[in-house]
Amino acid sequence: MNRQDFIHLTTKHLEDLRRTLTALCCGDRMTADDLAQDSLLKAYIQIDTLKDAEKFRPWLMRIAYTTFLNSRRAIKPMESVDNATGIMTDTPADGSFHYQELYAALNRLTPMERTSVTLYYIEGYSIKEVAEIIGVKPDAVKQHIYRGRQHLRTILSSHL
Amino acid sequence: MNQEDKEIREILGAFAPDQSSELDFMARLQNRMDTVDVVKDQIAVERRRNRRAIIIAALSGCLVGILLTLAIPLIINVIKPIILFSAMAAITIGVSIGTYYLCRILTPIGNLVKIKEL
Repeated sequence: MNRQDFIHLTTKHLEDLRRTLTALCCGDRMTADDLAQDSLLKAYIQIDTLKDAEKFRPWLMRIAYTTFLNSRRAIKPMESVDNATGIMTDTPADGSFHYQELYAALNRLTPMERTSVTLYYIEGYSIKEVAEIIGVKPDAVKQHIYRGRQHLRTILSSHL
Repeated sequence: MNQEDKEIREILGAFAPDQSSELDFMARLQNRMDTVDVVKDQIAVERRRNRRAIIIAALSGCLVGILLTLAIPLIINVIKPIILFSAMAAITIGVSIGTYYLCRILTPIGNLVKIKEL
């Protein structure tokens, strides 16, 4: 796969990648964008290892998930997103405030639960695909999704 | 699909956060990809150079081997007289040393016999 093909595929799946990483980073868009950049560069370097271009999206998500996990080990969170809960804004430019409750709820989940829930509910992957991306068995993914859903239900009870 | 699952799916399915400009993101990515390309090119040149060196070394080894194999009869002809000369010299030296020690052993015995006869 050459550079043009890679850019074409990247453009096609960029929105999904950034949305997933924004959810995993609980709304920290700067960090999510940095992780998206790092993930795409890693993907570009390893592009020769991808045999089937059809599997580009899950392959890229797996790289993004690994990059996210590695970044969590390296960086200590400075301030919890919980502190932003309840802040109201009328500025349309700052639309991310719309999701503060959701980000705060996602922040309470473990990385595994958050990733499973994000990939399953937001990105629409099947249990089997999520299992392949995060490298665990489908039964474990089902458990993570179940626990994540329970936690989200408790935290987001006002919305449900 | 139970009710709980449906509700979570409704909330998360509508998740569409605002993102910064895609053009800026891609421009930044392409700048970083340029750097990766430079490094990739350098690695490719280095690999090509190493491969060439290995091929040259292998060909040289084969060539020298063939030449030496072909030259074996000639080499033997050149070396043979030297080996023969060395062997003869070694035998001569061995015989001389052997004779010397034999003389040293036999001389006292001869003297003793002479004394007894007297």
